[in-house]
Amino acid sequence: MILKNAIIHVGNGEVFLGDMKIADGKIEEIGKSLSGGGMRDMTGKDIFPGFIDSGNFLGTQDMAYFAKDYNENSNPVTPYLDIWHSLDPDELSFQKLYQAGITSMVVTPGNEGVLGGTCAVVKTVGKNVNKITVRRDVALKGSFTSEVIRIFKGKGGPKTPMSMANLLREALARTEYGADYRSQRTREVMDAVRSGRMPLLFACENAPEMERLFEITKPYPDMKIILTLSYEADRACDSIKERNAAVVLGDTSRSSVQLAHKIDFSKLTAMAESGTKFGLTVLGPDMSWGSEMLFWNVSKLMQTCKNSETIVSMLTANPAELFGVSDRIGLLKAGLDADYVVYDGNPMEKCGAKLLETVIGGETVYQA
Amino acid sequence: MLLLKNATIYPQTDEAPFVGDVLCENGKITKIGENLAAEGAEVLDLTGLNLLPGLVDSHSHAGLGPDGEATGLLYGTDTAHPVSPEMEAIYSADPLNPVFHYALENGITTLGVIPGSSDVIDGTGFAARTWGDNIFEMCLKRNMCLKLSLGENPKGMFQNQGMEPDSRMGVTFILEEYFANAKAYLDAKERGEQVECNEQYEVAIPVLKKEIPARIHCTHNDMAAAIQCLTKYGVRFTIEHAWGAGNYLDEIAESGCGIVYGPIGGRKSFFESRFVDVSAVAKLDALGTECCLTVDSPLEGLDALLSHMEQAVREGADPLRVLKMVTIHPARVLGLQDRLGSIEVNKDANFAVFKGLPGTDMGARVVYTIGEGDIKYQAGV
Repeated sequence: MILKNAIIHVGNGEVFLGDMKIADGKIEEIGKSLSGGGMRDMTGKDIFPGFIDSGNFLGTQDMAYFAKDYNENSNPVTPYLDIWHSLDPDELSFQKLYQAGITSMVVTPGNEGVLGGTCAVVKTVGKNVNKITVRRDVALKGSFTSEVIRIFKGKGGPKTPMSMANLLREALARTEYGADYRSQRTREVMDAVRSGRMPLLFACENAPEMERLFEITKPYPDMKIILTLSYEADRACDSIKERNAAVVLGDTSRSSVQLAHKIDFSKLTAMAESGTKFGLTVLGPDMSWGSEMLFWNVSKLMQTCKNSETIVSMLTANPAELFGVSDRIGLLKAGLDADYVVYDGNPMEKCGAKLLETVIGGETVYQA
Repeated sequence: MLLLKNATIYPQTDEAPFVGDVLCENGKITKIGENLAAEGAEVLDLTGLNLLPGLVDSHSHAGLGPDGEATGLLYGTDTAHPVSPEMEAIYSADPLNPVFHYALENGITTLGVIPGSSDVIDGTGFAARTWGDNIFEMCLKRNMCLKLSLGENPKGMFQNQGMEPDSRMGVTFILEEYFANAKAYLDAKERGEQVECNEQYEVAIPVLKKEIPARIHCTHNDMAAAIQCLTKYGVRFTIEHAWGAGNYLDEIAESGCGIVYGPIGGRKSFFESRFVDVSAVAKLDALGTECCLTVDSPLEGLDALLSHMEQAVREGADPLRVLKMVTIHPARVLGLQDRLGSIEVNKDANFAVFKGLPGTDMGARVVYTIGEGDIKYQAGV
C-alpha cells in the first residue's frame, strides 16, 4: 500500500511532502511519486513515526495495583534482573498508549532500587510478550531518588543518599565475580554498562542527585548515561553536557513537581537545540501516569521551542538511538517497522490536531 | 489605574474576540473600548497577546495543608464522622502555602477551595483570591457550597475504622438519610414548630433553598444515585470529577446540573479510574450542560489546568468553549458570576494574559496575571 501526498515528518528533523510504501509490516520505500500497489490519498495529513515513551513501567502492574512487579523490593541492588519477565502485554495494551500515538515504549524497573534491573523496548499493543518485544537488555535502570529510601529505610537501608551512593560505587567497582549464575549475569550486565555497550538509565529528581551520579561514574568515561525524571536538568546543564549524558524528562504535571523544581523549560529546549539528546516519558517520581500526559509535556516544551521537529525527535529518533533500536523504529525510513501515526494537523503545534490512525507493524491498532 | 492596550480580548460573554483596550480602576474594570486613554494610568501594551479573564479552578484543595501543593489534602477532610457538614474548609487553609502564588503563575486568580472526599457530607467550601496573606481577607465567598462525596473514598475511610459506611450502598444511604432528615427539619421550622436547633441540618438549609449548590464527588453509576437523590430534594448541584459521564449524558442534561470534570491523565486503573472520558465534556457542552474543568489540586499540579484544556480539545471540545470552562462557568459554580469570569465593565479586574491561545496553540503560556487591577505575576514575553 502507498500513502500518497502526506506531510512526512521523518523524525530526525526532516519534513517533506511525499509518499510512503508499506509492505509486510515494514516501510518499503519512502520518497516522491511512488507507484505500484494500492494508493491511499493522504493530502493534508501529517504522518510521524510512532511515538516512543522513553521509559516507564506500565504493563508491569495489574490494573488493580495488586501485582506490583516493577521493583524487587527485597534488595536495592539487582542489576541481574530483567523487567521483561514482569511485563504483561494485556496490562500494557489496556493502558491504550496508542490513543496518544505511542507505538513503542521502553519498559523499565521502577525508581525504588539503586540498580533495579535491565530494560526492554516493546510495542504497546499485543497479547504475546515475545511478539511485542523489539529488544531486551537495552539499558540498566537505577535510581538515586527518595523512593529508594522510602522502601529500604525499614529494611536495612539504604537510608541516606550517601549509602545509595556507596551501593552504586561498589557495584561499579566490583571486579571479583563468582561462578554462579547470579554473579555471572551481574558481571555480564555491569561489564556492558561500564564499557558503554548498555546505557545506564538513572532516575534523578534533582540536580544534586545528578552531580552525585556524575562524580561516581567519573572513573568510567565510556559509560553512557541517560538521566530520567531529570526535573532539574536545567540546573545541572553544564555537568550534563560535560558528561555527554542524555536526558529523559519525566512527567511534570503531577502535584508539586513543578512547584518543587521550578523547571526552566527554556533552558531545557536550549539544551536540546544545542545537541543534548532528550526523550520524554509519562514516568513520575513514584508512578507511571496516563499516556495523555506525554503531550502535556510537549506543550510545556513548545512554550520556548523554536522548531517543533526538535520535539518530534524526542518522541522518535532520539529514544530509538539512545536505546539501540534505531534499526527497527524511530524514523520513517525504508527498512524500518511500519509504525506510524496519522494526524489531521501537527499535534506539536495545535491542540486540536486529531490523531486519525495509529499503525504498528503495518496493522491499524487505532482509528478515530 | 491600569490601562491594558491593544490586547486581543476574549471576553467570555456572547461577544466574539476583538482587539481593544481595558481600563482598570479601584480593582474593577471601568471601561472597555478602542483607543482608550487615562491620565496617570500605568499602561501595559499587550499587542499580539491574548487577554482572558483571570482563570478559575472551582474544585481545589490548595492550601489545606502546610508548605507545598502535595499537602493539599492533609487537612482536607476530618474523617472522624461520615456526616460532617459543619466543617468549613477555610479553617484548614494556610494562606502562606506557596501553592497560591503558583496559581498566579498559571493565570489562576480564583480558586474554589473545598473539603476532600473522605466523608459523605464533607463540609463547606469557600472561594478565594490567589494572593494575600490572610485567608479571611483572601476569601471572596464563605460557605459557597456544601461538598458531598459518593463512592470509594468515604467507603475506604470508614471501612478501615470498622464504621458505617462499609459499602457503596451504605454511602448513598447516608446521603439520602441526611437530606431526608434535613428536609423534615426545614419543613418543621417553616411550619413554625418548635424544633431543637441542629447545626448539621442548618448547613443544608441554604442548599435546600437553592441559595448555594451541593457539589457531589461522584463517577460512573454513582452519578445516577446522586442525580436521583439531589433532584428529589430540588437541590441545585454540580457533579464533581464526573468520570464516566459519557454513559449518563441524558440523565445529566435532563437534571440541569453542572459538571466539574477532572482531574485527567491518570493511568487506566480499577474502580473509579477505569473509564476517564474527557470526551464527555464536549458532548455535555453540546447538550447545554454547564461544564468546568478542574485539576483537583493536589491530584494534578495547577499548571495542568492548561493541559486539561488542551486535552479536552484533543478529545473533541471546541477550543473557544473550553475557555468558558475555566472562566465564566466556574465563576457561576462559585456564585460569583457578577464579579468574576468575564471581561465586562464593573467586574473585578482579574486577567490572564497569554502568548498564544490556551487550548488552541500548543505552548501557550501566561505572560501576566493581573488581580484586581494590579500585576500580580509577570513572566518574560
